[in-house]
Amino acid sequence: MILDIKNVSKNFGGIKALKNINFSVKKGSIHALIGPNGAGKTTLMNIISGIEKMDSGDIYFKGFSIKDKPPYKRAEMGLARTFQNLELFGNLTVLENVIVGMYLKNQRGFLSSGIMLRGINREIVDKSLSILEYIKLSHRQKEIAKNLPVGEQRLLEVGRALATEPELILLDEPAAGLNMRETKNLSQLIQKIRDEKGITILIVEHDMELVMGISDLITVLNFGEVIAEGEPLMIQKNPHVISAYLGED
Amino acid sequence: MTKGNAIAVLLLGILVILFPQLTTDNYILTIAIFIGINALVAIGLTILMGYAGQISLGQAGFYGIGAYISAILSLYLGLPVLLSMIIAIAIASITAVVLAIPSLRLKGHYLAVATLGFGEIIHIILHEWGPGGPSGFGDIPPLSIFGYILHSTLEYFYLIWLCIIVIMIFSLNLINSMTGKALRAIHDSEIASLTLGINITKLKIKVFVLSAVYAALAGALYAHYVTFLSPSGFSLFYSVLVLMMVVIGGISNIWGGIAGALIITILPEVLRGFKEFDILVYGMILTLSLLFMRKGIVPLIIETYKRWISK
Repeated sequence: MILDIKNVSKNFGGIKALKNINFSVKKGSIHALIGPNGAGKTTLMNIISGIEKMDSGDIYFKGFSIKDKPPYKRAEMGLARTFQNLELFGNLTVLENVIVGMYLKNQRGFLSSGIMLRGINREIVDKSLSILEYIKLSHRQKEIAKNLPVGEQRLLEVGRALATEPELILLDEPAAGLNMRETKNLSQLIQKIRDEKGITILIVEHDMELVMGISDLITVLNFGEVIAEGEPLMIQKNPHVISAYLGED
Repeated sequence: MTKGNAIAVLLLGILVILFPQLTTDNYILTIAIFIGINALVAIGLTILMGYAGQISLGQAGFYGIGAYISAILSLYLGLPVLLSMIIAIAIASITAVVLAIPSLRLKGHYLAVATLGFGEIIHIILHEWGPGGPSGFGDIPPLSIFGYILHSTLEYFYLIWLCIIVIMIFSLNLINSMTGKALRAIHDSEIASLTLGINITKLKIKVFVLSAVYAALAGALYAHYVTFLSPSGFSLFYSVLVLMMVVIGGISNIWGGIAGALIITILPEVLRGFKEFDILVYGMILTLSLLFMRKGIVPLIIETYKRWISK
């Protein structure tokens, strides 16, 4: 198991956003987290990446508790993510966005940065270019990120996450706002990342065709609780899940 | 460093070398020295504001620490001037760390508030406990580098502008490096930067310390050039003046620090002709330039130039 969520709870004021969440993500798998709006999926993603704090419980990444670690330490350990509400570096170029993703493995002190004449070396640029090729955005490398269409911005977020050389990527609704062709490309990319790079994927997504097509295991959240877990075919037939999505009758 | 910046540094170097050929007027050289001293402080604040997104209203405090400590160590303890300057800069940077750690861990403009208080505290300390109190003290030893004592205005002109060229090269390299990219990234999205493994707080503290080092260096140079110090030059007014230089020069480009220092330092001299109305005209020029050149002069020039080229 690469990620273990243990009894995680979170309240916002009086609202219980997450109640005793327990599940584990297997190394090398594509694991989906689904549920109706307001089920607590994004909250859980924020807690795993360290942007929000949980009220109780613990999270283990590669067997180590990361509860008290700030987000940048979790990134150092090999955890990367994308954002539902796109958090690109809008004023930087597409290439620079990926270059910043490589900061983790290439950081330098102030003094050596100031004395160095070459700035960012060829190796970093080449690596970033090859990532852009991998996500098929090479032709956009010089554009300012905020000028890209949403579909390409989502791809760039994936590319930037890849640049940190992670072991686990959290994808928060990567298909939101994409058309059918883009969604198909995205699902191929996600599988390619897992198959070729061996990176584990935890994905939150509303597009059921995408989720059912690529996931090894699905965890279903509703009103902050896990109501079901299993393989895609089992989840599709699960009466709890059906009633959560269609409403009780 | 990018090609454009390298050419600009080269041109600045040539200008510095040639400038004394154009004029031998000591008055003009003196003003050029003060432009340089102010530019050092302004470059530091430009990096802090433009690249770390933080505002400091206490640069006068670091400027004062640099000036007073270097002067006191060399005058009363008899330390070599160069050593006194280094110690003064070190003390300013330690002060910056102590100030930055609590205020930069919080979100928002706590640093602005903390530095405002800090600057005032330094000013009061200099006023109450500095040598000579409010009237200040003189006889500060002039700059000497490995036994060579600088006397003439021309020598100070060259030294100070050499400092600026070195600091510009350092700063431009920094901004063009991975660290510089990370700083720009923080500006666009703090959350994304954090999840990419960038320790935002640490980087912001470092930039703040850098700005304090530049200010303290400027203060120490000032002390040994003028050889007389009084607290009046190290008040909130000076911090605001530097802020003004940065905003007018353009916070998104560190050349703005030099341009802003040039304008703000020259303006009162040029406006002498207006006699008692000089403050009025000064205020009007500043207000109008803020209204019509929001981004500052240097970014405006670059944009105009690019538009002109593409036509």
